Amino acid sequence: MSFVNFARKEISFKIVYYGPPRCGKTTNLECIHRSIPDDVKGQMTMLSTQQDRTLYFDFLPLKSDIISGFTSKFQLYTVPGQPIYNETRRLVLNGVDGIVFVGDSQWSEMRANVDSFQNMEENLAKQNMKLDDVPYILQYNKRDLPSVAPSYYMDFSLNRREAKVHFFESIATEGVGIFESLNLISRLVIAKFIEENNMPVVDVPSDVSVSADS
Amino acid sequence: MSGFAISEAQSKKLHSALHDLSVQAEAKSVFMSDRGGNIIAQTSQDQDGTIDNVAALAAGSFCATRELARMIGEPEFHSIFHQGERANIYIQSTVFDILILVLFGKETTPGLVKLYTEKTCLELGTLLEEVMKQNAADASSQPVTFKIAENAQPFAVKKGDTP
Repeated sequence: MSFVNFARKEISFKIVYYGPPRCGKTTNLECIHRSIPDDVKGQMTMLSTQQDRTLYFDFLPLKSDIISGFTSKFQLYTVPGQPIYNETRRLVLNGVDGIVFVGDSQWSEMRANVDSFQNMEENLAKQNMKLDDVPYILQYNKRDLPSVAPSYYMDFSLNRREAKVHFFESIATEGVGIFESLNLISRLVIAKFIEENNMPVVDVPSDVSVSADS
Repeated sequence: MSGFAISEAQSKKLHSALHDLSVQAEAKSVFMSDRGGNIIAQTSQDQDGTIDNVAALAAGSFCATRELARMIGEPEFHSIFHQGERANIYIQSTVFDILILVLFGKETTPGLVKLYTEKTCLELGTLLEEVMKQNAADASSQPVTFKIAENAQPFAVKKGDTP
């Protein structure tokens, strides 16, 4: 849920990175934190187990001047992928403005991808939200590994809804596709914010429209 | 408004109430956030750049506590208190899922902080209702047009750096 503070000229948005265990959600945030200029990022907080698995969530606050006259604050969260932490995933989704679903491209993880996507829809429903109402994109990660499914198969598995969404191929460990994903979801979230407030949209880049790669 | 918005006048009133609480309870810092961890008002500047993280963690902590309460048959715990050697945090929920966070040291006592925070929460009820009513009534009446900055990308990598 976006939050506008007219006194501080700030607008806050919440973006959640969702996906199956070990798909690269935390690696996305680590890459962003490492590569983004210091003046637009806050501290990265990671709540991990001793095995470096996400226990609660990772959190990275970013600032942007994308909306004229306001500071846009983007709060990036990841969810823990492990099945036992579903309650936490549900809590983190509360008030979400946009979602990056990170899929693991390895053939062995296809079932986990689909299960996680379904789990995301179920958890949104528990918050009285529908995926149709939340801007989201797909990111097919780990494209550098040897045994990966082609993108069209990933799309067949995950991009099956009536309204197709944009996807990016990524290698989170090398930063490939990471900023493309971040920028697109941020712009989709802002476009929806402006649309919902019945304000005229000015100079929205043409690629903000939701479409599938071919 | 799709989410939640506060005007400048409302923000000043909220800030004033938090400032009074800070003085009365002899706290180091007081701030207000929603359950999503968005800062709504605060009494001190974010000098070390961690206030968003503190708010996000506090909100997460409170949500987890709510689930704990539910599992033992309570609708909700209204407050949580984290006690340290030199620094403490007291968090109390108030109407509309708004959280008041009080950071305090040895200068004061948890009892005093709790007492004045509860008093402030009662006082804030009316003001927060006014904020919510205005949000529900007609958000489009806000005299502001949001525009996307021309040719802007939300985020870029550091100069000379590849991710």
